[in-house]
Amino acid sequence: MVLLVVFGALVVFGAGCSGDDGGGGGGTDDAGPVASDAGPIEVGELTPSLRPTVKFKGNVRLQNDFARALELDIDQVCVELGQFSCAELVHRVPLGGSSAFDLGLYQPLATTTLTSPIAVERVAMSACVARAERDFAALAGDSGEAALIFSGIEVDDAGALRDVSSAPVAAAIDTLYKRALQRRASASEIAHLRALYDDIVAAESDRPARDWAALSCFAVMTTMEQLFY
Amino acid sequence: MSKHRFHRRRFLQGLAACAAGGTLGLGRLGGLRPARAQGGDGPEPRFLIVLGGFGGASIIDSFLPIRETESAAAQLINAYPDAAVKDVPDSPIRAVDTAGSSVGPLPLFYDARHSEFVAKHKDDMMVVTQTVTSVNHAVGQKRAITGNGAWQGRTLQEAVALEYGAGHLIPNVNMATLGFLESGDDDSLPAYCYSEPVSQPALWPLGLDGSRGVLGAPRRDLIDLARRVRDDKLDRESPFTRTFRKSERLALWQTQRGQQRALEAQDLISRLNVFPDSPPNIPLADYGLDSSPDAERVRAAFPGYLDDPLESQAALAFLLLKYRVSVSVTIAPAFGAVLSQAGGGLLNLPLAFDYSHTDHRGAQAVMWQRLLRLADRLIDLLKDEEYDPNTGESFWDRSLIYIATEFGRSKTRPEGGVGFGSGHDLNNGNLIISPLANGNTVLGGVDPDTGLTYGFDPATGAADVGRTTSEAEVYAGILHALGVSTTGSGLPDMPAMRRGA
Repeated sequence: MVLLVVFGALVVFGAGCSGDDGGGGGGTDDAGPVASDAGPIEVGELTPSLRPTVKFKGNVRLQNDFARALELDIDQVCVELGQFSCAELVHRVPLGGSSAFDLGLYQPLATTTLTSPIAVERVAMSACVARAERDFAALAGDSGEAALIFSGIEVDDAGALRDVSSAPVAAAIDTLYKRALQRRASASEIAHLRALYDDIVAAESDRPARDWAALSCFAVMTTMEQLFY
Repeated sequence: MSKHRFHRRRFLQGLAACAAGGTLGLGRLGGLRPARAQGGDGPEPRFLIVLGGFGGASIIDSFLPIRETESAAAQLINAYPDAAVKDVPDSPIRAVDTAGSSVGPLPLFYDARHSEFVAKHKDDMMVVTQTVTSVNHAVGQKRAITGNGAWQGRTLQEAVALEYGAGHLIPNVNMATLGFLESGDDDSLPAYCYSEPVSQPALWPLGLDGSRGVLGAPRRDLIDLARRVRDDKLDRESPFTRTFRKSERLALWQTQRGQQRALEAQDLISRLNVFPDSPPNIPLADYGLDSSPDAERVRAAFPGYLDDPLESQAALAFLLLKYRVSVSVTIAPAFGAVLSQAGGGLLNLPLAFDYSHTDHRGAQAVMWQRLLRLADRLIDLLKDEEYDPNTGESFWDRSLIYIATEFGRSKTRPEGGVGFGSGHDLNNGNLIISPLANGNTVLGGVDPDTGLTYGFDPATGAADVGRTTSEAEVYAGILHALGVSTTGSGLPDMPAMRRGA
């Protein structure tokens, strides 16, 4: 049975694309908008697009999306050595920006380059660490603000989650997906990110909850679903 | 404008190349050292350095000058006072030595002594006359690296990357601009042959590691756990990825992502980093970063690396070759004026060589001096760098610098003029510097009455006043000197440009 439960989300996610991405159809066959609060969604077989033309977001859109999803100021997303903008200067070209003055490159490159994935990871890592730090400061009551994504999770004195199977952990993952990808996380995706926590603990992280928060964010923010439209 | 187009064929061939090597994405990039050094069958690499003479570097203002007493039209063509044209002992290569205190309206002291460069490097210098086919900057620059499409449109850099780059992480790095940055038109090459553009050479190494230098980043082994979840689970199950799973761009992304760990494993974020730890401006240690082990001597060679994009490019170019990351590096000044932040005045003329429109001789003197000083230091570094301890070969022994330029300059001047402007001209020549080239040689010559260069016999090198040298011939000669196989290409044989041929 072909379920296109999340295709509506793809359309929302793809807002702003030129419409040539193709697609295998549209709409949903059951419960309506994916951003409802009806609980995690499941996706069955999907018909691959016959016109699978996707586009890389590019430096400005990526930076803006990261800032919006993680509620950071633009200059909090990624700044190399505390002073050089990742998206607008240091990694501008591999992130899909033009470089008229430096390279005479008046249009972005048509393809990503060998160093593009690394540049993306640096931006995502920087932004996700910033969000995790702020949320954990909020959880500790140090910042006077509420946690944005990882609210409600319980962390013990050793920096570990009290219960990775708890509902707040699932809710945090769901929030992350909704903020990043404009859709709810599936039960499987929640399970994968819970399993990531177990792996982090097994690897003897000295602050497993905080590392898990940063790395869950990092993993989702660097999915192809986040980077292309 | 660089095209860097997306092509199905290019992509598929890249994938095929990777798949043939085993693991998707790592097949062509299985390690830093060349294939032969790893016990493979790949040829020992030779290295191409394209140094762009941006704006029109004129050969009759550098190494093929005309003395006024040699010309029947001395006051009407660009002939120099006899005293400015220097002969260098034991060399057919001449040089122009001039000095001045301004270039056009720009106050700028210069003392250009090209003869010193010839005296030092003559044995590796080959002057080749050429007549090109475009007087448009961008078009001419691209033709300077493709031989005007001589070999299915592939650039020299791509051809060298194809021949020698398979075992290198980033075989073809291009830091130049405009036409010198363009990819070629041959879409049949493996993906690794096409250039990686670099706009900020000094900072670019930061982009060679996904997390080092990011404050607060989790440990690398933990990051790898997250990457695995992303690659093996989240991406595979994503409805977006599944819907667009036939997208070539997504497949390319996965291939490129697969090469990331090979790059990180070589610690290039440190090895290619020229900066010293110098808080508060460059607080490397605060961010857990290190300088290259070679940073100090590279900075000594290129002390202007902070101010001058060209020196910054040269510093990175050397490190890319030394650490065997690349087999082709392209560097060039650009149109923009560069002012020294340290009060050193104007480092790059506005429009580079093309400032010749305003003051031909001053611009040519300053810009040639700029390129030659840079080449001299780069050569010295490469000479000092041992390539093979068994043979004692240096990196320079396996390198070739091609001073590429888009066209020459007009040959005439107002009668007796000294401070005159010039236009673009198809007729010109190039300087190639390499132990692999037919050194201490001038191939072709110049008519002293017209200022126009003429060609040579490709087999013997004998000057031929009835012939001009084409872009394709220069292109072929460079590849042959570098030992690149051109079988089936239809390129002319150019033994006159090879050492010992």
